Amino acid sequence: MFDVSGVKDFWRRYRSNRAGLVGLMVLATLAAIVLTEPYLLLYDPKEPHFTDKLLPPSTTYPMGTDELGRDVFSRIIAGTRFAFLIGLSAAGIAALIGFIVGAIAGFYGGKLDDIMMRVTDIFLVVPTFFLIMVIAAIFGASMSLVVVAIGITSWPGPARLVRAGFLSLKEQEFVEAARLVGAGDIRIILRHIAPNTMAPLIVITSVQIAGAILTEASLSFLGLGDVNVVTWGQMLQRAQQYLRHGWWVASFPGFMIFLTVLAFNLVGDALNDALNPRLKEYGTKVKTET
Amino acid sequence: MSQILTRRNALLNELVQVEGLTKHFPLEKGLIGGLFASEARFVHAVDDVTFSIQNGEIFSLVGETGCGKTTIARLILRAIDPTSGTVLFEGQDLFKASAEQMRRLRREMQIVFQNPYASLNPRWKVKDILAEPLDVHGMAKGDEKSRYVSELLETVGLEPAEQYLDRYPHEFSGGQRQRIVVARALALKPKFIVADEPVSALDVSIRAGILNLLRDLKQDLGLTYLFIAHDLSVVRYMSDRVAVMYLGKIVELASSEDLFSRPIHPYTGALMSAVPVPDPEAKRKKIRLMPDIPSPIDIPKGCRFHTRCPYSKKMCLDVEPELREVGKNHLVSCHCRDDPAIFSYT
Amino acid sequence: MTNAVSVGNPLLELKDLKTYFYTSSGVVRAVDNVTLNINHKESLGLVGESGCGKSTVAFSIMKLIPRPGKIVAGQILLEGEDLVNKDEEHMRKIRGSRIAMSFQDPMTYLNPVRTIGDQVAEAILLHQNVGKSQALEQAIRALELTQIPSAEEKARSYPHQLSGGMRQRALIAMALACQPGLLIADEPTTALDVLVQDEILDLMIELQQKLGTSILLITHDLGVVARVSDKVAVMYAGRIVEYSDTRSIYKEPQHPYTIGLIGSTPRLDVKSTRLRSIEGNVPSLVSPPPGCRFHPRCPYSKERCKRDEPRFVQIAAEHYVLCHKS
Repeated sequence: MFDVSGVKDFWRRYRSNRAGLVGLMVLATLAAIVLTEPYLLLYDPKEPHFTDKLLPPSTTYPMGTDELGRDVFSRIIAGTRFAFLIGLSAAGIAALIGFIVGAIAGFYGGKLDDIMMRVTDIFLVVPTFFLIMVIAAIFGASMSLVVVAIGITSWPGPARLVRAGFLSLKEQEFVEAARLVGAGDIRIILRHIAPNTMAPLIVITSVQIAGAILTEASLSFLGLGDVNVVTWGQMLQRAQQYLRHGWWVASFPGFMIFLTVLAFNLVGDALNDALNPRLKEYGTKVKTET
Repeated sequence: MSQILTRRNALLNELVQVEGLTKHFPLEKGLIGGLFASEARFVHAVDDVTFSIQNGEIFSLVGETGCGKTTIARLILRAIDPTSGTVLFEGQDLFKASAEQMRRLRREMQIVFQNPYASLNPRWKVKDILAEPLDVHGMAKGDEKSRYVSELLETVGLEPAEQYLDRYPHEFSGGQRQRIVVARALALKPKFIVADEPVSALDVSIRAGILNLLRDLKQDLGLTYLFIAHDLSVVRYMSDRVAVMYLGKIVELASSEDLFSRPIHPYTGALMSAVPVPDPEAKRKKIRLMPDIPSPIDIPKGCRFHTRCPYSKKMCLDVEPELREVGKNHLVSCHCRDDPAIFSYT
Repeated sequence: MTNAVSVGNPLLELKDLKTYFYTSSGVVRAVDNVTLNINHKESLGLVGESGCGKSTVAFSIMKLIPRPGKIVAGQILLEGEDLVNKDEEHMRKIRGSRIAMSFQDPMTYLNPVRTIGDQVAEAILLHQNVGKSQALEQAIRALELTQIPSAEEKARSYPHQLSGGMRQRALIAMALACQPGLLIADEPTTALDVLVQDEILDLMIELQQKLGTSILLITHDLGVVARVSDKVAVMYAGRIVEYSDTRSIYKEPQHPYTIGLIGSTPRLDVKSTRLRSIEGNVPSLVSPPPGCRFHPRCPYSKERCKRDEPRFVQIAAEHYVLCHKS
């Protein structure tokens, strides 16, 4: 279902949003870093060099060293992979759950919709961050747990979007046409309506990736993250005590978080504008014009 | 038992038999309204409608917005369920059919919608849109399917098929899209097609092409149509028989020739006299209706047309007229039908 | 290029008007060299299908062309005064008081949270030096003029409480509140049922006679034009292809497009054996065909039609055709 002319149009619209292009370039660079990680590491990110503790940036250590003498630059590189991993997995889980809930609620309506919406409301009301903290505190903090926790607390956003999409699309004539041909519910949900709800879902997911990265960083910062993994949040957590001793230990991870979150947000925004004109394609032109 | 009925009806050559069809839509009560309203209120979309469609004919339902014609179309296709009444398709009771029977029946009846922009999934390629009916019913696969899809395109005048298969609906004009819609309707080789305002959303010069296409297909493929429109000129061009609807009931039913040359019901006369004709010198007698337009929620007592009828008398306020035969196969629902001298619309 | 067509000073003259839209897909030549006249107390029907530019003509006259469109060339003479170069402030004085417009879809053009009376009175308040209560009174009278029953009560109602036909009447009342010399009615009946359409058309004819308002009626419906208009201009791909009085257009159409249009319209009073459709599709206004824009679809086209752009040929006293045929 790849629409060549549509892709060209989309790209033309996306291109006109300069901030979005910047965001995209940043993400592309980060993705390149993730893919070429083994070649970029100067040192083992976990390897301490006790004789080189808290050194400022130099030719040997481009971003300096932390309190255990570990190379900040290499840790930043390693952290990039985890940032993407966490962001994409958590947002992916949220999108999947959100899609299932939203699709069922929007498509079937009635009592099912009411129940699902009440559940969604509960999740929206609960302070998710504290929920995650509690989960982490009880079950111990491991990377996978954090990712899953973020995922299952972020799905209400996508769910609402998908539900709205289903509510309006199920009344469209092409859906009725499919029914009259004899298509069953699953077919209609997955093959007819779902593709038309992808656009807003993609947009919100890109923003959620940013949110997930931030949340993980916050959790790690508070000491609830997975200590064994090198993430920017973990780096920040360590750096708290040593701020007086060296700006580089905190600034670099902090900056990376900021940059990545910003990039995803910009891209999400630009995607929104670029994808929206398509939504006007169906349904509104009935009378002749001009 | 049903097999006997089926055969009997097949002999009678009636493809679709509608009997006493009624559909009332409940009105949503607001929160406050729900507290105070004593009884439920309904929109009387269709009220006790009876007619049949012969094999091979184009049968039209005509009326203004809200007269119930679209609701009847959806009932006949069983897109919605009725409040009461039956629809027999080839003798089979539609509303009593099981899910499996319905699935098989769906192959025989298809629809062409009004809006060519909304009835095709914008994210599907044309070839997938046309292949879907085949996939749902497991009718063809692989090469055979591709060939069939190309044939469908050619049947509706979209050739060469290659230019259409891999593209998306938004790349085509309204007229072309409507042809794709027709092609899809033909995919399962149905006997019966419901065309719900198939040309209303198209440009004037394109309409003729689609109308001619529909006529030719009927001829070549032996189809039967339920043709729904509000444009009387189009109805005259297309139909064999016409039923005029008002507020959920049929007020006149006759062959196209009879209806348009000798309309009997005042509503039909009014409709016809109101259609602007592209001839500045045409002289037509004007039937003026009273402005009191009733709502489909509070249907007037007696003849539901009496509030607007210039000829209404005392009887019309109390007694609802029945649809009775006046001339040869010309049915009218009016108390004055026996005084045709009153009505001379031409 | 054509010469001014009518006797006496016309109310509105469009001379070689060009309105283009500069979009990212190219330049859309929506109105490409249109010359038209509307006399006082005359009704002109501008007929064409979607994409021919007729609504753009209307919006050009009102100078309401949104970006990326602009009037590129030509003149719009309102009683001799050229509007093309006039600024927004000047146009605001003209809109509603000397030229007014009504639209196809009343629901979109009526403010849902204000009463009908208020909206009609607004035009009066903007252009006339009267107080609010007097403006409201005049508004009610304008509503009465459009034959809305119980006008005073309706003036206090909101758009959603009125039927489609009444909303259209309200829109017309808004347009006529200040008794403009010219009313531009853009597809006034397309969204209405036939009985209501009939009433609105009668209303327009009556208003034209009573108030002496000229009407520019924009529509795709040949029947409507035959009812209401004195003169007809047929538009295709941004150009006027035929212009004449109503009778001649229907009895002796000259341009192949006009002929095709009439031949493809089913008639109520006659049983047509087979309608003839016009082959092909409406051309893109970004890259229209060279020569005569209609030539790819024209059953009479010759070599010349593919190369040279046709010029207006005068067939009769007031009958012009843009075609090589004559």
